[in-house]
Amino acid sequence: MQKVRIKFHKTDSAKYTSHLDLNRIFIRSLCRAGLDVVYTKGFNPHPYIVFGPPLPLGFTSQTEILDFSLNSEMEFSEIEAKLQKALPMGFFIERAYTPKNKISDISSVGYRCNLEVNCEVNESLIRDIAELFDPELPLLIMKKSKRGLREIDINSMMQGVILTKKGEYDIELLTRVTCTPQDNLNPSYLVSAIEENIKRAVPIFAGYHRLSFFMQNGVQFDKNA
Amino acid sequence: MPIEKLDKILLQVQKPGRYVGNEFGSVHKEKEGKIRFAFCFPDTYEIGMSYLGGRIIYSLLNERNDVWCERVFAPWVDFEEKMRENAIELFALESGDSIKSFDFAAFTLQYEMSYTNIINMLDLAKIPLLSKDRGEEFPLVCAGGPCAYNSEPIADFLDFVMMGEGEILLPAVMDVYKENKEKGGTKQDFLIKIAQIEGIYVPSFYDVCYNDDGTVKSVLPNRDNVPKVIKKVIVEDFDSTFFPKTFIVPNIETVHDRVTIEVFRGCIRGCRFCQAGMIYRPVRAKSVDTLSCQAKQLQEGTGYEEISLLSLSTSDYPQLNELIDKLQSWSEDKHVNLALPSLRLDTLSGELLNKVQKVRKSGLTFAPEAGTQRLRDVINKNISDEEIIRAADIAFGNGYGQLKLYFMIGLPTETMEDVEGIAHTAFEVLARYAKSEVKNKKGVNIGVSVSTFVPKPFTPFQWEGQNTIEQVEEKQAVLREKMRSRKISLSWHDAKTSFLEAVFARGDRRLSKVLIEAQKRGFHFDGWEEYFSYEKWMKLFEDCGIAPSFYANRERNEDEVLPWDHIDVGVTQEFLLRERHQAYKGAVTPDCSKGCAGCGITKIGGGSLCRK
Repeated sequence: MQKVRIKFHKTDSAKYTSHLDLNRIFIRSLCRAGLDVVYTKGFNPHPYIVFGPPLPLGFTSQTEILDFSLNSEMEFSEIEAKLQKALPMGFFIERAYTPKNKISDISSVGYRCNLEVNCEVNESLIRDIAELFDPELPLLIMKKSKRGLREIDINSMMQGVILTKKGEYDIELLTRVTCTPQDNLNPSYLVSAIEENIKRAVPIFAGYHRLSFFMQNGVQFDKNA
Repeated sequence: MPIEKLDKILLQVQKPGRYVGNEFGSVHKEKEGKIRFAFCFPDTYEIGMSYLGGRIIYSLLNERNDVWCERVFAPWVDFEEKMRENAIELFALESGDSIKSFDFAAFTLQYEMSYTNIINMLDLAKIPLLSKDRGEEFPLVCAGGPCAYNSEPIADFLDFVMMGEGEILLPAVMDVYKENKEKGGTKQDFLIKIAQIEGIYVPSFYDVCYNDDGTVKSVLPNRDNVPKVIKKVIVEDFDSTFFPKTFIVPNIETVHDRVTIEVFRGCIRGCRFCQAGMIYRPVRAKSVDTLSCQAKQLQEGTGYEEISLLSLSTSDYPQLNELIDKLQSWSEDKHVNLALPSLRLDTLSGELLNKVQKVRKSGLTFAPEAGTQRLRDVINKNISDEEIIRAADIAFGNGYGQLKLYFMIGLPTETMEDVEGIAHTAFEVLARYAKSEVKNKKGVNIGVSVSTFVPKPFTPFQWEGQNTIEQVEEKQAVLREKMRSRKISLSWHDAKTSFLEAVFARGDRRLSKVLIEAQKRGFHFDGWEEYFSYEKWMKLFEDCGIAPSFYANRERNEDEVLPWDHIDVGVTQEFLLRERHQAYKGAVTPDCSKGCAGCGITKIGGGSLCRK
C-alpha cells in the first residue's frame, strides 16, 4: 500500500464547487484516472479519501490537500499526470508525494483577501483597519456555527495581518487565522468587522485566496516533504 | 466561461455551480465557422443534466466539426432576478455567449408545466417571443421531445418542431441549414426546405380554423408542397444508432448522476393511459453486447459509480438476465452499482433482485396504477392481485423493507370502490411483510404515491375529460382517511397542477396569448409547488377570455377534429378508438409479445415484435 498526498490548486470556475462537491468530483476523477485506490469496506464501498480543512465556497486556493492510498505502487509523476488529465477545469495538481505531517496537526492557515471598498483607500483608512485588528484589543463579532450564534473575538484567532493599498479603492489583506479541527476563522469575518466598525468603508466585493497551512509551531505544513 | 460581471453575482445566489459550466466532458470549440446550437432545457441545471436525451443530442451534434452545441438551463429565480437587475442576457454555459445571436435555440418539451419557463427563457434571451416577429438576426427557435406531438399551445413561438427521433432529424436539419446558409438563403428559404423533410412540422405553414362551439374545424396547410399530415420519424436499426461515448460529469449534485444506457425504445404493453407507450412505438432493442460496450465505455470515461438501464419496461427485455450478468462481469470489481428502474412487478423474480442489488441496494417501486382488477382491466394494465402479492413476497423475502407503489386516480369508469381499492392494496402488501420470515433493519414502510390522470393525446383515452379538481380532491380525502397507518406514507400530486397539465396537454393555439400574458406577469417554474399559483392562473385565463375546463375536463366527441390530428405518431385512430371501446367493456388486449393488436405502427417502421 502506498500513501499518497495530493497538493492541488482550486481556481477559476472550480471555486464554485463546495466541499461536498469536491468529494464527488475527486472520487470520479480518481476512477477516470485508472488509479487503484484503496476502498472502504462494508455496505457502501467507496474510495477512501481524506481532504484537508474545507475551503469555503467561492474561495480560490493554492494549497488544497487530499490523502488516499494505492493498492499498488506507482511513480508520483505518473499519479500527477493521470489524475490531472482526469480532473475538471479549474483544478491543478501541484504535486503528489508521501504525506509528512498529519492533517489534524494543522493549526493555522494563511489567506489573501482582495477587498474593493466604496471609499478612497488612503493612509488613514489603512491605519484605522490596522488598529481594528490590533491583537492587544478584542474585536467581537457574532459567528454562526452548528451550535448556533455565538460571540467570538476575531483578534484572538488571528496571528497577524498585513495591509497594502493596491488601487484607489482596493486593499489587500494578508492574514493568518486559526484553523484546527475544533475551531477555525473564516477570513470573511474580517471584512464583516471592517464593515461594522469602519462606517466610511463599505465593502463592494471581496475575493479570497488560501495560501498555505501552518503547524502549531508556525512551521509550514509538509515543509520539505 | 462566466464573464466578469458574473463573479460578483454568483456568490449572492444559491448553487452558483449551476451557471459556470467547465465540467469534465463539456465541449469547448472555436466559434469561427460553426453553427451555434443552444440546447435549452426549460428547468434547472440539476434536472436538465439528468436528461439522457440532452446528453445524446449534445454528443451527436458536437461530433460534427461544423456545429457547436452548448447547454442552456432555466436560471433559478434568484439568479434570474440578478440577471434582470444587471442586464445579463440568457447565455450558454460553455461559451458564456448570449444565445440571442445563435443559429438555433432548441427547446425540449418534456412537461407541459415547463412552457412558462420556455417563454420566460426567450424573454431573458431578448429573443422576440412569436416566430412572426423574429428577423434574420435571431435564432431559429425549435422544439422536440414527448410534448412536441401536441405542441399547438406553443406553436406560435416555434419556427419548427421535430416529430420523432433526433438521431435522424437533427443531422438532416443541420445539413439543410448549412447548405442554405452557403447559398445565401433566408430563414424562410430554410423553413420551406426543411418542411420537405419527413417529421418536420413548420407551424406557420398551417392555419387552424375553429367551429362556433370552439372545437377545431381544421388544421390545413396554407401553401403547396407541405404535407397535410406530419409523420414521425424513427431510427430503424436501433442497435447501431448513435450513442454517446462520453458524458459530461456535473460538478454539483444533480437528480440522476450516473451512466445511463437505453435498453430499448417503445413498449409492448399497451396500457391505455400511457402516452409514452404509444408515441415511442415500435419496440426496438439493443443487443447485450452493444449495451455492455456502451456502458463500459461510458463508465470508464466518466468514473460514475452507478449504471442505470433505461427503458419504459426494462423487465420486458428478453435477454435481461444475460445483460445483467455481462455487465456485472466487469462492473462488480469496480464497485459500480446497477440500477433498474421501470421493473414490472409481474415479471419480478428473486433471482433478478439478487443480481441487481449486489453492490448497493436502492429502492423498489411498482406501479399497479389502479386499486381494483376491474379498473386495471379497463386501463389494460395486465397485472393481477396475485401478482402484486407475489411481488411483495419476493421483495420482502429479499430483505427489502421500503416499497413504493404508484397509483392514479381519475381514470375512466372509476368508482369510489376503485379508489378505496388503492388503500386495500396498500394494506394487503403491508400484511405480507408480517408474513415474511426476513425482516429489514429499519422495519417496513409502504410509500403510496397517487397522481391524477391526465388524458393525453395519442392514447385510447385522448377523448376522455379529466376529473374536475373537486372530484380529485374528494378522492384524495377518501384515501387520506382510509390509509392512516404509521407504516404507510401516502403522497399525492396537487390536483390543481394536474388540471393545468391537462389544459396544456390537450390545448390548441389559442393558448399562446395566455402564455405571453403569463410571461408578462412573471410566471415561471410552474412545475414547482412554491411557484405555482392556481389563483393567478385562473385570473389569467379569465383576463384572456379562455375557459380552461374546455381543454381539460371536456369529453371530446369521437368525430371531433382534435388539435393534434395533423400529426401521425404511427398508431392509427382506428386502433385508439378500438382500444377505447374495449376499455369501456372492461376487456383487455394482450401485449405485443402475445399477439399483434394491429396498432398500425408498421406503416412507419417495424419493431422486433411487429407482424410485417
